[in-house]
Amino acid sequence: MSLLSIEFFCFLIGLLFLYYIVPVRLRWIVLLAGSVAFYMFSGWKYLILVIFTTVTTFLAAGRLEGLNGRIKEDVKKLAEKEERKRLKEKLVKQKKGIVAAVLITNFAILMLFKTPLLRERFSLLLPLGISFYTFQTIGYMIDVYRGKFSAEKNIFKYAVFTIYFPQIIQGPINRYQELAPQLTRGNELKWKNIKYGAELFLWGMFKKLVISDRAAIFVNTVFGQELEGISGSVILIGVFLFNIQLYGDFSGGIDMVRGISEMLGIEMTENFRRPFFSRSLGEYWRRWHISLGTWIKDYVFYPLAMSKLFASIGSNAKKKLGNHMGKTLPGGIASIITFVLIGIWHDIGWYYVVYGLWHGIIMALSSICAPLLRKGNEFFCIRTDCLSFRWFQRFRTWMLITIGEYFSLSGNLKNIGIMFRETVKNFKYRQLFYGLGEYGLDGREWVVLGCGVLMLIFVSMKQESGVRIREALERQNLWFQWIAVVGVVFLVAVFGIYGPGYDAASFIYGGF
Amino acid sequence: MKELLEILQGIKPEVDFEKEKGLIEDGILDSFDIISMVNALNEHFEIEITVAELLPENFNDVEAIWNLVQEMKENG
Repeated sequence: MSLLSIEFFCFLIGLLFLYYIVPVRLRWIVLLAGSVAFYMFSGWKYLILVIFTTVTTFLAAGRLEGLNGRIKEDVKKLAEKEERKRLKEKLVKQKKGIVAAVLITNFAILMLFKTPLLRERFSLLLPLGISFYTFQTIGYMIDVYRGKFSAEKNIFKYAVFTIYFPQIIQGPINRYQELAPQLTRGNELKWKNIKYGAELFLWGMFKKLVISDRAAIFVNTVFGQELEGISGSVILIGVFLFNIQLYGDFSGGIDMVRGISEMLGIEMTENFRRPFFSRSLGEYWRRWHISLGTWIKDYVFYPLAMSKLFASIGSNAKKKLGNHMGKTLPGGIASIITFVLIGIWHDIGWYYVVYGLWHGIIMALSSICAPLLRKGNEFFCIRTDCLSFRWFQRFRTWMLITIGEYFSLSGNLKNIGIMFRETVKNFKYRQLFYGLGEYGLDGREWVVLGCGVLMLIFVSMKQESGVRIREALERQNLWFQWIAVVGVVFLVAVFGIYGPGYDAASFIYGGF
Repeated sequence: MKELLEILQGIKPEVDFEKEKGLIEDGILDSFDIISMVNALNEHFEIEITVAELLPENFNDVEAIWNLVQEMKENG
């Protein structure tokens, strides 16, 4: 069931109605039943996989909590230090065994469905939300392992966290301690939540249907054909528009999901903070797909970079290459590995390995070369605390991201070469003025897209300067609020891109 | 405390560690700095800070870091 279908709107209204008429203590059951129903609409066969992941991580967390308790209590009771150490080691080993078993099984299932060859071999479809619920539940289990919070005692309450319908489509990857209490406590009906949620949903629709799906027409036309011979300027514009398409699609979808949650009185984790204003690639990754970034940081990057192996790499580097390398090399190598993993999570193919290497190596180099860059700036008397330099940094970051998108759009290694070669050798700048209408968007469509993007930039700049749009709107006269909301509804209805039967295109990240 | 300040200063010389109270929450230290710092602390004080201890409240200011180091040394 698509988030932008009539069926979904009916489902949502029915669910909201039910949620708010049942007694507060039973409201979480409505969420569970609604989420299971939503999942079954999208393919009931794979529900068994969600149940498997829910049950294995739930049981593992319970067992881990028991072992945590024993480490605290039993170990204390022993008088001998050696005995204490031995028992602790034994219990920690058991904990690691449980985590490893559950983690490997669940990731093996994820890989089975994400590896194109295996998927074709067994004619499998990608189960809805498999990445997102796997990441969420594994995160929960590891947090219990680390003793961050207690394990949930009620498997049905835990299941709401796993299968909660808005987040299962394309994330964000929520944290148990933040989301679960909001799902199970039962929220009071508040007009403000309904209003704000609907406004956020509407803004998400605008980003998705007016901007992203319009940009997608050009991107799909350019990159859906043989790339040899297409002029470099068209490829470059295609990649720029892909940035816009991806941002509109993904952040628009997340706005809708967060809007739905807000109507239910649930505040979901933020996934985007205007990433294209970032002044470095590191900052970009802290503002783009934030929930994946923090997940990867907490459960992959830190454990890797703080492992004994990496600590010894650091101390060897310190001896042989100096103090600075000793400090930065472990993080640098861990960053490259982490980004390659992020790359192949998108799609298992060499071109995504290159994508990961690009981001990882730039991140590693910017840390390793930081003192050199500082000295360079001092030597050339470059002021770094002024507006022009900050915009230069933003432009530089956008270029680095754009080059990264060349890899992600290529689809294979051969195309990477063609795209870069055509961009450099066969740019044909005249096409920028006369040839852009040949790829699915005519003059009128370009104007609508341009206006949509300008509106997005305007709103983003306001947010960037600290304005909270919906609160600012709330302070206006009622007639103005209505004009603004009805205006956006009108724009979405008239300028939104709809397929046959007025069905909107599906979300890109729903495929991950 | 003095040796801790020296280690921190070595990680990011431009930060005034005695004054800052939100090293993590205000984004003064990024993940690369945190890795460098933890590895340096582990090596210098012969302790084993693990990912479970990577909480903002343990690293937000120099006193919190000092307390964490002391605690790790006692329990080590």
